[in-house]
Amino acid sequence: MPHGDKNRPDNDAQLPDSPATWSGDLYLTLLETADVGIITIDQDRKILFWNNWMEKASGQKTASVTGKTLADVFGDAIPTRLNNAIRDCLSLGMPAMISPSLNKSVLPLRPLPQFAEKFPQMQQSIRIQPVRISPNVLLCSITVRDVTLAVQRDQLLRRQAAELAELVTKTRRSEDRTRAILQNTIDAILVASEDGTLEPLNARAQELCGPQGDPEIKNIIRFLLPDSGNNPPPKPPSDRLLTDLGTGVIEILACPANGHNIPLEVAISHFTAYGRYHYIITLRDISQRKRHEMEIQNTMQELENSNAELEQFAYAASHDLQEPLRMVSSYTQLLARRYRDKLDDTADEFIHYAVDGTRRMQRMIDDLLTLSRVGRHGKPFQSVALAGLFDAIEANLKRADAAPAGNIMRAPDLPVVVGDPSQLLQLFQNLVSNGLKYSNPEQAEVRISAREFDSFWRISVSDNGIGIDPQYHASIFEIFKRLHGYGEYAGTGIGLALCKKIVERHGGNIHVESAPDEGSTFHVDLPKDHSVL
Amino acid sequence: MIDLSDLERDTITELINIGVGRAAASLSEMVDQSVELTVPSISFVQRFSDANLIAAPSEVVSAVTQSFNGPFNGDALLVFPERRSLELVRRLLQVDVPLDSLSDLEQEALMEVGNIILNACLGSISNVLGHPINCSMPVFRKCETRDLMPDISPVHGLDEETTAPFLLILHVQFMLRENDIDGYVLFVMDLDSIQTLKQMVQRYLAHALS
Amino acid sequence: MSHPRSVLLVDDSKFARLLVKAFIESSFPGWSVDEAADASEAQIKADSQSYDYFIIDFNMPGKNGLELGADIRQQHPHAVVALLTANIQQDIQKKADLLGMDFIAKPPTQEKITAYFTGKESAHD
Repeated sequence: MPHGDKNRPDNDAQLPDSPATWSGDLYLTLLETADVGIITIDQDRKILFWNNWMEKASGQKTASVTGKTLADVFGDAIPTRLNNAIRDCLSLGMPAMISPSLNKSVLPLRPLPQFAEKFPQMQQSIRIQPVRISPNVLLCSITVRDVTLAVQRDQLLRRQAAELAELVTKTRRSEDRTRAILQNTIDAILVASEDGTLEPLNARAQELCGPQGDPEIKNIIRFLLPDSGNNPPPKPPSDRLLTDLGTGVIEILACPANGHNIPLEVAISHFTAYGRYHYIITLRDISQRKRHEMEIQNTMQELENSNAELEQFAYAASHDLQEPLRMVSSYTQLLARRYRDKLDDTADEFIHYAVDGTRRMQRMIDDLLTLSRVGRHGKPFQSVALAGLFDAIEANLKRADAAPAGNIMRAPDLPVVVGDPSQLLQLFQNLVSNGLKYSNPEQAEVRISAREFDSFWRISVSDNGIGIDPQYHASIFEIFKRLHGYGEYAGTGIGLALCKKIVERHGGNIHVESAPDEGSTFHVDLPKDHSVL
Repeated sequence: MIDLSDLERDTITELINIGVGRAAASLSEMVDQSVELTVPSISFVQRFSDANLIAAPSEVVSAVTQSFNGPFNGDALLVFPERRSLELVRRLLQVDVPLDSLSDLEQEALMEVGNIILNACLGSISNVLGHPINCSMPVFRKCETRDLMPDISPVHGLDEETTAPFLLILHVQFMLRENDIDGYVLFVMDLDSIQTLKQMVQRYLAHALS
Repeated sequence: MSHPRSVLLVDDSKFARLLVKAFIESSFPGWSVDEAADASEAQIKADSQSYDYFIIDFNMPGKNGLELGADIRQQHPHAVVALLTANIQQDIQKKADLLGMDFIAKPPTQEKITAYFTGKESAHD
């Protein structure tokens, strides 16, 4: 501080008496130490004063700039705007200000180190003022403020404003989208707040609750909401609540002012927003579904009726046929016993056929009766160990002399299933004897195995017999369906139909895998869980 | 009552016209488009609120004011409707992100614009009359139109309160068509200053026509 | 100097007309100087009499100086037309140039006016 130092008092004795004696130095010192750049220029555009701040910011010492013009000091870097302002100040006495935004660079001054990276030059706000020293002397005072920090903040503010604007746009767009989705949802959506006010959220809800809608619907919804407060709405008329409230599925009937009644399924969910509890109520039009349900129900009823009639008929027919058949059978057998070899050969042959016919007829009627009883006289289900079941089957077959020893092979770990024991016995006995029947008696083999699936057991009965052409795989389970003449293989054509009926009563499935001459495998799938039945 | 002959009145108008013409040229350079000017209108009013330029007295405006004192006193104002001043700054600074209101730096930029324009006006008058005009640094204000003047109108003695001073209001409107920006320049002078100005104009006329 | 010329000054400012007229008369004695306050008055005068020079202001009520200048240039191709205006924007100067008009910036001064006409006259000779 060259100006301030030389007159600074260095001991008490030399302290000035009054401000008047040191005021000149005071002002100079103040200008020197001011935290702004101060330059004074005279009529000839020469620099008269250049304070400490300017020295630091420009790197130019006062002594080296005094008496020079700004152009001498900075060269061509001085913009026209500054030159004109100084000119107008000195010639016309016009003050001027030069802002950092309109003038990217004015004086080539160094920024503070912390800004050096982003700003090659100090950002300046400049004031130019005429200073009249005497009527004839007009000077130009230039004040330079460092506003780099403000410029940096402005840039930051602008960037943040841009980001914010983008965010707002994005949010608005996403809100619009959500609103459009909500509006265009087919279901009616409402929201209920804690105090019970119901607000329709989309067009469909507006429609239902609006003047053309159902005036009662809001009350019904309020009744359905949990904790509707101390003042629960009255229970709606029973014809408006389609389902028992205990079942979890709520269906109500809306009766709009204009148009048909609409059955609605009500779903209620909830959320908490701003510390308050809200319910979202979704109303789905289930007219279509109700119509289908009704149709299915009707069809089922018709089917049941017709099945029952059929069983009734089969039972009645077979039962009532037995009586006359027994008579025919008894008398033909009597004929056979008494008149064998007493008439001619042809008569013997005819009697034989008659006896055989009545026997077959008897078997068919028995089978038909059994078949009709599957649905009517079924026993309650219980656990049935298949190992024991097949023991019984083998014993039965041996007794009937239908199974040579050792040709029925069982897997060791047959499971315990759930079902009607006597029907299951009938089922598997039929399958095993079929397997033996349609095979070469010399080498017939039947294998029984089981495989566990998620929800059912598959019991498979395989033989090495003549096999079945795939085209017949479905039709063999129909009643009275025979693939062969009576002479080749014995049977009534009811056996597999009976098997199918038993399996169906157990909620299972039966199908066959087979090809001619490659044996057949019958798979019986029995559900593990019978709760659905 | 101010006694101005047609010629004196016409002369003052023309002086301002020349000044505003220079100012428009400066503004035109800054915004890089032509500036349309209206023919200046001069009016004398008893109160600022009498001036018909405040047809919308509650409109918020941005104003840059420079006061001048000596040889005559008064205020020169550059006025933009608030929204238009934002447009102008946007155009001048070519910023991508306009903020909702003027930032400090934008305000300073607008002050510089005002300074350039008002200096051009005042400088040219001073030039023609051959007499320097002392004027202040520009001041920026945002206010309603009706509040533009009261606190900057020259203060008069208490005894003169009953006969409020006459004000001379000179109004020039300018437009930047491309950006739909318009604003106006106002010169407001009191009775004494008008008399001084009148004398200077007479002297100038006498000299020029001699 | 050459023989006397006739000039029509078109300006809504009486002051401006007065000044320019005084400047012309003091530098070029014997020239005749007529005045018009707007474009329509100027048009009437130009129709009834021929002028060597038209000095036209830009900012005027009614037709502006460029519009009037264009008409005059067409009607009186031999006359010299100058735009004398305070509106010194580049745009205006360019338009004047395209119309074949001279451009004189306000304020008018004795020196400026004298120099303009002297230059024009010497180019003629």
